[in-house]
Amino acid sequence: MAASSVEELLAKAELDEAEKLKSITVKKDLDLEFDVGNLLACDSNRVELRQQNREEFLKALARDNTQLLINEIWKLPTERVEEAIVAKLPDPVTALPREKPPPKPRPPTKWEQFAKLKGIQKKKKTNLVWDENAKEWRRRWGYKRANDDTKDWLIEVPATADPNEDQFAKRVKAKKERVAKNELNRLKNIARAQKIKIPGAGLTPKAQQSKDELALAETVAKTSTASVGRFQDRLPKEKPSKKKGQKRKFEPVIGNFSHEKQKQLDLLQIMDNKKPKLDVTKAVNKQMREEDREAAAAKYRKGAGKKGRKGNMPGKGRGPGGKGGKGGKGKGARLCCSGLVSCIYFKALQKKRHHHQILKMQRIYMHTNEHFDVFTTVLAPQGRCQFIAEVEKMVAVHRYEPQWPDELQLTPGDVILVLSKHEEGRWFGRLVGGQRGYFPASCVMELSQAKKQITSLRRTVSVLDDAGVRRRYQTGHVQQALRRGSRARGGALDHGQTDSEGPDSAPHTQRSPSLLHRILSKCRRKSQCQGATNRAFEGD
Amino acid sequence: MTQLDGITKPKTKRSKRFLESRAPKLSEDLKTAMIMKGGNTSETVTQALKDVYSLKKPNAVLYKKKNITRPFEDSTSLEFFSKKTDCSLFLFGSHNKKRPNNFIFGRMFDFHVLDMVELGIEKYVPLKQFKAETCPEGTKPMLVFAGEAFNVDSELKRLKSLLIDFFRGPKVEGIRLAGLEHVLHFTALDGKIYMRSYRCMLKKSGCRTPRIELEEMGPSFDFVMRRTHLASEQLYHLALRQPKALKPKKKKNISHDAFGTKFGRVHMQKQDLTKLHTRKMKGLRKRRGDAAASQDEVVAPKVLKES
Repeated sequence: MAASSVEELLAKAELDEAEKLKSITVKKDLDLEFDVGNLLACDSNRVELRQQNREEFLKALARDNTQLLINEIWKLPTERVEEAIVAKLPDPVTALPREKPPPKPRPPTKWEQFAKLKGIQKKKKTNLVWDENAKEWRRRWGYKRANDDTKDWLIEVPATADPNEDQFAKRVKAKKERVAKNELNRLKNIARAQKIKIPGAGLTPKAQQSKDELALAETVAKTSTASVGRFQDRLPKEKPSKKKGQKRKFEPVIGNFSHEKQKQLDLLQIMDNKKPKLDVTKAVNKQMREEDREAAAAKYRKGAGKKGRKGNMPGKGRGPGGKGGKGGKGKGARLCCSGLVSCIYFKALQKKRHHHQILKMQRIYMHTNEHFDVFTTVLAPQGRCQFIAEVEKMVAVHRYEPQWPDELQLTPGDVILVLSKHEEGRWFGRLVGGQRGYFPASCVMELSQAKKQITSLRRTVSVLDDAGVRRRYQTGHVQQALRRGSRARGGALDHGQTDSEGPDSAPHTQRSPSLLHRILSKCRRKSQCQGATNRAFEGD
Repeated sequence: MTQLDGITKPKTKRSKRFLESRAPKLSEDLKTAMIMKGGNTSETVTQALKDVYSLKKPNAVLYKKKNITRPFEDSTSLEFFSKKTDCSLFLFGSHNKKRPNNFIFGRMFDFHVLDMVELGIEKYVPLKQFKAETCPEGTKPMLVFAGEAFNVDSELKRLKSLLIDFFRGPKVEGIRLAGLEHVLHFTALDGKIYMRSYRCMLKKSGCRTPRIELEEMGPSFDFVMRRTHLASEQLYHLALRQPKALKPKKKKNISHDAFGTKFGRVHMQKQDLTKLHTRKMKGLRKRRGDAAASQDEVVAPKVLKES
């Protein structure tokens, strides 16, 4: 009984509720989609117009939908605001396109970047500052500011300044410059923010532009072509611009200690070596030009000119010889490579040394024995004709350490003048440096033989790297140098050798010896002069 | 020079404020509309334009003069106007033989036309003909879209979003419940779009939520869709993009389970569980007798003497 009554009660309660809510309930097949933030309701149910009047139908539909929307809104939390009940709306859900694209954050200015890097914080400054002169608080900047130096009626002229200079005008000018600089930096910041490229300093138009600035502007304009200015015409007397557009990279002041130490040590080593660098391309080009010039000159003055030059030969021929001789003393086994490199450096010293060397040469010459006849016989003629050496010249092909006190130390490439062969397999000879001693015959090879091996070699820049190869090439340039003996290009001592080669050498040299040989022949270095080896005896 | 670029700085604070109001903002405020007439307009069109203007009253500009342009061919004139008045919505009314009583609803993105929809007015009942009392201007209307076509047809979808943009009021945090008066109802039926404007009255019902009774108050339109010029998906997505700053910051380490319980994770350092000081139960303490029996076992951890 009780149970049924309870059931009845519940049912009744339910009915009552339903009655209550009847007025606001709406039956729909599909639920509406609500976006309460926008006060929006979307009804996806099918709309079917039946018999009734369209307006009536629409109104009924609207009423139903609105009711549902209102139901939703009434579910929101409310609060009382000044005698009105206000419902708190949530954020709108519907995605609607924006009016304008979202603002991009302003990139930091140069100062801001720096401040962030260093950790500088912005400190709030007081608006008012105590002005000592006026004895009151004044604003920091602006109208009637504190410590206004434009209002000074007196400026002391500093001791270092020009007495006729107008200090007031100077101040005003300085202020104007500061303002202009500030404005420029501000614009630069904006340009950087908007990624606008601005021309570098010196290219922006100014009232007075210096010669350098104009030149820079002109270079930039010239190189702004598709082929980076390679085919741009130049004015008749215009020199090519030195600026290649490469920037120097400055290392940070404090940082890598080991790196800095290494750099300093390298620098010191370079200074210590005193080896001037050879700009190979430059030297090669120079050599080529000189050769062309000489060839043209030679063509121009045939016959008669030559004879005149021939006469000069002997004296000048000594020059190279002398240098060679001088090279024989002094420093130990200096590699040809190092010696050959100092073309440019040598040229600077050339004139100074020339006379000096010639004197030395003469001295050496006077002390020579019959073996030095080689020099004279070679030097006398113009160089076109070759002389056969009466002594045998050999070149060491293997390394040999002296095992007896009277033996020679041989390094491959050493030219040895064989003085006697009274023993089989053990010969007595003289080295370039002047040393005399015995050496095994197996370690040496005839110069002429050796020379034949190198005829195939042509111009190589890498000649400098390989000492042995270099020596071989000596012969070529030696001959050339002799031919051109007039220029005492130091140590073209290759004097001696030529005669031995004679007929062999002639075709050899004519086979266009490397330019480099010629350059190297011209390079007389300090080391050569004082140097270890006498070029004359250096073999292939 | 409408942009606030640093190159030319505004000389007065007022001009600076003005430029700032025109500059792009993180969260944008209400879009304004410009309502203009074409080269040739009929009575219906002019009246209709005026009515729409009254619906959108404070946030619209009504141009009195005729503008001889064709938006679908050349929208430069519209873009120029939008730049000058900083309006991103427009309504262009015109009338010719081929397209009588033409309405072009459109919106702009970055002062370029984003979407344009041409609607023809089939039937129009002006505001004046309704005897009902109108609600004050500036009330935020409730928008209702009925008909599955609004969700199915892509063109109608865009039109729906355009109409929402046009007619929704300013974004508010709270709304006075008594002030919910205006309802705009759009129905898509048989290829036509019916726009009705009602005034809703909140009647007493048995419960808290009131019962709604509607009364037609505003202008009623029967539109038919003509041409459209909708933005590409790409451009539309670009326009929809919201700045990251507006995204709500996600609070870490808070999670909710199915029942709504809030969970968080507490991270502890590694503890030596043998030296843990937990609640001591006197009864569980090992007695002397037991201790002797369990000598071989692991020695129990030291226990603090309870005072």
